[in-house]
Amino acid sequence: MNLLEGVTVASFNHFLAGPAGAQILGDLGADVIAVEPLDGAFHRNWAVNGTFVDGQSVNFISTGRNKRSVAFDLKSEAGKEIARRLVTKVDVVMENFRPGTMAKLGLGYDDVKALNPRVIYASASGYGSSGPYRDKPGQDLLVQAISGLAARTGRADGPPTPAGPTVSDHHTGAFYALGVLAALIGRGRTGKGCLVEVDLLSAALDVQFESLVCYLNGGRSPSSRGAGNLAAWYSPAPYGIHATMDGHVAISMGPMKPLAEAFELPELAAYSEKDQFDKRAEIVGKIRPRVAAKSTAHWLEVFGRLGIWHAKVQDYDEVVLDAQVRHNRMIQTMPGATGAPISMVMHPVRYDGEVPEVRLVPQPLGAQTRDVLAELGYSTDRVGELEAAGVIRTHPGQVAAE
Amino acid sequence: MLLKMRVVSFCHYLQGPACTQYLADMGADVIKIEPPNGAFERHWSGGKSFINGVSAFLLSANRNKRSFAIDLKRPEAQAIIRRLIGSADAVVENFRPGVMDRLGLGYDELRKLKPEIIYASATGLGASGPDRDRPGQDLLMQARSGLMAATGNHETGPVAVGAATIDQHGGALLAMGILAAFVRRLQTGKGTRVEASLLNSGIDLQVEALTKYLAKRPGRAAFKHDRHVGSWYHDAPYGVYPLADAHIAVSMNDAAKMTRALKSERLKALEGLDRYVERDRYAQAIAAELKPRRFADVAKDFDAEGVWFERVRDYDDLINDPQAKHNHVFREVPIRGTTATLVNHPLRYDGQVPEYKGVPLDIGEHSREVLSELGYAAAEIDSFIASGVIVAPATTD
Repeated sequence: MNLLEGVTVASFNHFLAGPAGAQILGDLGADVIAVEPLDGAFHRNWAVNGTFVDGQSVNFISTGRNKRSVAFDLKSEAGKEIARRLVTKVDVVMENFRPGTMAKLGLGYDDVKALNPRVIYASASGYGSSGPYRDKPGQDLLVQAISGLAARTGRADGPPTPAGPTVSDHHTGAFYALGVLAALIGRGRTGKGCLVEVDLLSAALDVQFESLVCYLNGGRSPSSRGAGNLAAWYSPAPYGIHATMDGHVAISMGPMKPLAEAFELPELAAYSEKDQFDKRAEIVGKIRPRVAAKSTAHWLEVFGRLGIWHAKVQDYDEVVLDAQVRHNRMIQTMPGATGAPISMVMHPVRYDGEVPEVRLVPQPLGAQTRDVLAELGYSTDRVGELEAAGVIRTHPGQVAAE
Repeated sequence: MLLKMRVVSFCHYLQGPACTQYLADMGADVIKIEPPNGAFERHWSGGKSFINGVSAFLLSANRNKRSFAIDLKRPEAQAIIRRLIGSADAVVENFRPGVMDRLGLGYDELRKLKPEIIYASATGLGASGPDRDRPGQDLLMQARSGLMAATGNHETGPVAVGAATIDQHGGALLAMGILAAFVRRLQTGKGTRVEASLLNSGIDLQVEALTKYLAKRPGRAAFKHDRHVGSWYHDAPYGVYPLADAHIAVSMNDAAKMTRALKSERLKALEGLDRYVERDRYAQAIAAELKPRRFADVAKDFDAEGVWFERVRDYDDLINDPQAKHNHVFREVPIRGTTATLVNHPLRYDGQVPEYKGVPLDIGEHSREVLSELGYAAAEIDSFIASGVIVAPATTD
């Protein structure tokens, strides 16, 4: 399965959202050429609290598959020439430097468009390519703070709480790929290229649009965050996480009658759907001690029998073992570039029932420098000179997935 | 960009409608199929938020679509819906697995009708597998995917993210998959079955965190941390701290920088600390330094040292945020004599925000128009409406 057969992408990306977006296109079959500096992209050398697997950063393992690695010095004249040849040849250029950096390198949209009029040029930034926050650091936690996501998560009687994982980064990555695909389709029809721009802040708002549109149009509650055990400021009772005797269970939307039966509290049946919102603190107050009195296993059985929408709150060890997660083949372990096993979270969408394959595990730095330079018309001798001059970095060869 | 792409949307709730709204924003002709009494999202709204009777939930994910209301259980509906699908590039649905098959509209049926169709399904947990029939809903998938366990701290226990992030992300992923299939079809003429699920979406939102976890398998203990620390897998000070007059998010910053910015002997003494292993100790020291200070003072000191930080904003701050305004992230639109505010499509194409063409406020608002485009004569359309197979608002003329 190779949906993007023949599509070529030059990826000038680092950190998380940018490489994640490029990896989506690589998963779908595009030839993604990751351009890296001589000492490797940031996320190759850095990992959250220094977690490496046999020398490979977990951040690189997160976003490095199905890409070829080309390493050269973008600041040197010879390196700039390589970059110009590359962007002339590809369908798509993706970059997530701070606004203005690519232009300084002679690789801004106008520069690239002059070389390659049909190019699709996609930029990911923290806050947008212009505007008052243009030069601020764009990082997931900070964007959660600005976008209201942190203020709207947690308990009413507690502080603002960020989502633990970097959800804004990953949502941005999906849009980065989505925008490129839309532009490819548009180009197929009109022959024209496009500048596609995505930013973390816009993506962080998009990921909350149900909650935000409710708020923007008059939805209010006494507190920014859910009272008691409620999941959010706009949740009706008992929508939220409830502590059992030995764990936690999430209860979703649904009518009160089965809940009255589950908790042996006949008075619950009298609450209307409207009450579930207006009297939610009162309802949760009645339910809480009941849930806490029995085990998670007990409630899973009772809720299942009564058709109450529920789920056990699972920790990562349970997620890894989860029967449906395994069925969906979302997590795969295979030998990485060094031979040591690496575990990856796979592309989340299925095409004709198939998980996009891993054609290339995350590659060593410069594993395809020689191949790509040859494709760009550089002779073997010239590649040797460039290497001797310290303009490029090569590696003996690519590592195919087993 | 997607002009001339026609999408027939059998979607309700949020994941499916969000997906087709992303496509509609990009120019696709999205025809929203609704039952005679209207889609679920017309009648329900989180926080009971209605604007002159129009659900804010409907407004959030149904702009730029046309509404086509039909009673799919009536035998006459089959021919109409098949003619409609025959004119389309993609079908998107988010019923429970098996429902579309029972309606005679499963992938295998429609592929016979139109081999190049792109057939996209959004499910809760997957179109097959042991739990394919369980209810798939944002909160439940937050529980199941570990997103709750990875949010909050050891005082709070697991915490739900306070917005339907998995639904939204699932919608974006499905739209992305449809476009990838469309690129293939333009090149090869082949159709594709595309499947997204909330469970996979919840996992995809955690790629970085999960990959880190899978590398070391640190177990449950890793999720226990001081209340100021913002995630289970970052070094302190990464997290949210109370100030005298606000809350502040402090991102990844090195220890020497923090010492200089806060001019603190207490922090200087901790500079050699492993800020992951002893993240609680370091976070508590940062918290003690920050607690009595005011935001304006801290911001000045942090800016001088290049510390990565932001004040935690609530929605009211966001509405007035200068960058959000600059980016045109909100859009005021007229709704039944008043004004509603929507969140715009998050991407910019050649610097432009996709245009707004309206929300179908009436059930079947475009039923007549769509039938007419399919070649039905006015008399036929009237008879469909009279017999209740098709629902459309009464004509005013």
